[in-house]
Amino acid sequence: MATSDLFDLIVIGGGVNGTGIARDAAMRGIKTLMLEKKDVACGASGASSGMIHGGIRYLRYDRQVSQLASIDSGYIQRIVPHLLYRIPFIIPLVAKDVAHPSVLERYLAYGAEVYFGVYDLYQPYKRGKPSVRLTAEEVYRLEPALRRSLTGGMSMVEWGIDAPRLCTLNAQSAQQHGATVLTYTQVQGFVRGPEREIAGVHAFDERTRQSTTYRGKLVINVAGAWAPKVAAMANVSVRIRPGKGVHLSLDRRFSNYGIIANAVDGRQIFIIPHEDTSVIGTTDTDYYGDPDDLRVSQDDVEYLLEGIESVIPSVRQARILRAWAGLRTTLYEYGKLPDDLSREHAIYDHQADGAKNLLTLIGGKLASYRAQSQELTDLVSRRLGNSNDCRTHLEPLPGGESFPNTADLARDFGLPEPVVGRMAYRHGANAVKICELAQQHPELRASLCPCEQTCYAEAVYCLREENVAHLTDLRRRCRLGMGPCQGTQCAGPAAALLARERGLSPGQAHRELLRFLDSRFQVKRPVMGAESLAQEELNRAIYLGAGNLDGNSVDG
Amino acid sequence: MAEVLVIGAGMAGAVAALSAARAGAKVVVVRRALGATALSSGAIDVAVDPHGREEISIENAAREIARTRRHHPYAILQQKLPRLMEALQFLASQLPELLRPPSESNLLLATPLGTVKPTAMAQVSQAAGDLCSLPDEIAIVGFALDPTFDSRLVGAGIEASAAQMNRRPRIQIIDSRWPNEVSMAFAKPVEFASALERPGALEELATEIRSRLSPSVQLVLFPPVLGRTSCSPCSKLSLLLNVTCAEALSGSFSVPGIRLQAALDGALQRVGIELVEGEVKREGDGFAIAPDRSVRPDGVVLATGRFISGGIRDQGALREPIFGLPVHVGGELIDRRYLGDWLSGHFADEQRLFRAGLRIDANLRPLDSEGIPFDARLYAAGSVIGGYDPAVDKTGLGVAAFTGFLAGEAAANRASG
Repeated sequence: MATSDLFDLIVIGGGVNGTGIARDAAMRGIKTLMLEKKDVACGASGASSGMIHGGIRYLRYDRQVSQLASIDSGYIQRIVPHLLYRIPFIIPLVAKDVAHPSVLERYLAYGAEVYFGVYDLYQPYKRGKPSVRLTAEEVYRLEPALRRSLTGGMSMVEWGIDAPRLCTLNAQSAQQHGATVLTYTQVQGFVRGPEREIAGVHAFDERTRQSTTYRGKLVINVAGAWAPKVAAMANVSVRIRPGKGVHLSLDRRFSNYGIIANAVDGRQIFIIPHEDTSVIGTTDTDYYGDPDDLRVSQDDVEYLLEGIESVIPSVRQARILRAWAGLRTTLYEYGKLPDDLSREHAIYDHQADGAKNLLTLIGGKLASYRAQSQELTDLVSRRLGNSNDCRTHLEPLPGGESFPNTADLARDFGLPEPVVGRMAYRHGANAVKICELAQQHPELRASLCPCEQTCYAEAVYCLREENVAHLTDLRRRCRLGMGPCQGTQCAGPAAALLARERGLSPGQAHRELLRFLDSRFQVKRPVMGAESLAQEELNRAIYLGAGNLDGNSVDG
Repeated sequence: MAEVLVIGAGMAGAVAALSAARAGAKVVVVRRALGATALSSGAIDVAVDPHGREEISIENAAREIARTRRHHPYAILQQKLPRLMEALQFLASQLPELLRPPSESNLLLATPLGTVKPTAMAQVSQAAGDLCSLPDEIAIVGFALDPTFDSRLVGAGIEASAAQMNRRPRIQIIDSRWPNEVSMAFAKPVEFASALERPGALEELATEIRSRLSPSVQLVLFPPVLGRTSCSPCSKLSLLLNVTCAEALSGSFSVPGIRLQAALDGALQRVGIELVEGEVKREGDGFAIAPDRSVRPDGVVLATGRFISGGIRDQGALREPIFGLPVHVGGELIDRRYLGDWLSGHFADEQRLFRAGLRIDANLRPLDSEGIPFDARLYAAGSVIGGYDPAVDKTGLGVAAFTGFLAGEAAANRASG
């Protein structure tokens, strides 16, 4: 087994915490290695709602979580402005009998106004607008699709973000500052030093099928739902209370507003617009299984649809494009409902558990990833005697330096404006590099994924610059195959492109293609029905029927 | 004269109509829209041996499928399986300019994914690229502005499959600059096909290729965009280049699929079969086929396809929408159950849900939930019939042609008898 140089810090996990810490540490000059068993953002980060919100829900019991999240949301907007989009929300206030709301219903409406008033205190931190109490007429003028049982509503502003790209950019920035980032490299065990202290890890590279020993002064476990498994390899027990969260993506943009609804059990769920689609989220149920076996059930889907139907009666007319699940890694607490669990994070030092130099970070939320990373990296710096300050809230992430004028780019490079618009949203200032690539190679101007307006040039840029190991990774770089057809159109051409860029044999290209098609199948499976049946029949006709992918031997 | 109503005009419906007309019936075909045939690769899969024996005849491969898959239409129609080749020959005779008659065993065609695929019958332009009789030197043309067809991947796929036959053909890759218009970078395959039909376009392309073509090349393989309505651009290129030209098989946005559907429409027209565009509604004993027109046919062929074409729909439960017929997977009725229960494992695994369709008896009559023929006049053809998965079984348009041939004949004979 090969042995590496000595790293100052080894980070296990490539979610938003892992990539965030890797970036922070690398910027302070700490020699850092980040190991991820799959691709970045394959766990809770990628499966999240993708909202940089202040967590109004947490205001009831965790005011500091809301404040921290709101302040950090402001920082995130500063370092990666292109990746964020504003989501204006409507919170409908309902009554059984609209003409005569009950005392309780009137009380709840008043309560909502007060509650949002408190949240307004945090809005300046994150460039949000104060909430407004809307009359029923105003609500229906804004969104006529809402059920006719409202007495009014509240408005609120939150921010959406492309979470997989946030992880990608943090990892890329870490690399630019000297960190080593290895994806598809799974930790298999810990190295112990002379005093039984943790002195590194053994990790298996899925691509080279080689194990390597990486030596490190400090090891941080930020493996999210997998953190207990990682800790167990050092005979350390880490307890979390994993909550399964399911989202659905619908084929149409129901509203330009995010809408909050109460589910059958009274929990709050939402539907938000995302490009041409809508996203419904989310469930919160305890999950005791293996995090690798997490599946969406029919019950999850029905729960979400039923809840949204209570405010948008036509929601079932939409085709569900996909359903996905993630695991929140909330801190373990007994005797609480999943929703009431704190989104606070905690750092555990395992010295007392007989694993000196191993730390675990559990919990936290997407919106405050940067602050969490800073807190942990501060601790790491102290341990390593590094006195450099955190700069992750000051220096932009790659592409975040400026936002290009998309109309000018489209005109200057002869590309359709919607293509450049999405490109700039995903890549910020680096969209110019993609346009230049398309100018040098006119054939790369063609559309690779028409659903997500991804052109060949963008995919080529991601393949060359953004640490893509497998075709499925492109989904998290440029949303390949995420739209209404879920890869039917783009999968084959994208596999051919990958083969061309990487010099793959047909067998290797077919394996990549099948792996990609299977990743789409897994998210379609729980919601297969109605129009999706036609889409999937066509998909199978193209790849298994005409393409004969299942009939060709895939060796070599 | 007996009257037959055919619902659907894809492969199954068109062949049923032609077959019923040959049996002496007066036929009217109603179609709602283009369906799975127009979206197909344009080649006709009939049977591939489940055990992978390539030399086995198509007929024996179908028998083997009938033996191993008990709910497959070939198994249910086992008594009639000796007429399989007759059905295919009938189809070829109806589309003489487009289709090469079926040979004894499968052709082997290259696909844009870099795979090769056995298929029973193909269009003249596709069959010319048969890799069973592998030439020593093949040129593969790709258009620089059409990145969906990667000539190198296609070439590598042919090399890999030839290596399994211990052959090492020489492959010449030709990156064509035609059409030299930057806006074509945004074009779909059908737009390339249409650009090739402009006056002088084929000559222009041939001139460019001729200047680069190695003299010992015996086959030139093109992207599947040679002609929207006929294979003539392919034969014209062969004449211009003085070497056999062929098209690779196609997957998505298939131009040859559109061409196949156009040829089926043409065949119906040639025989004088009336084609009505619209929806069929049951109306007492008869059917409304247009706002002011009803028919009371003696025989009806239901050839409405499966999910793509809307022959089977999910309306809370899976149903055949015109007659409300129950839908089965294998022997099991799919009623109000979660459809995810019929899906498993991985994408390329067998998925029972995609074998869903009508259950039929040995005379192609759809069965109700009691297992009794729903209506003595009614026959089913094509993928509205369940028990097979066209994608996995590789029996797609072949089952459509076979069942269409039999159902059309049965409907006409029932009507006249």
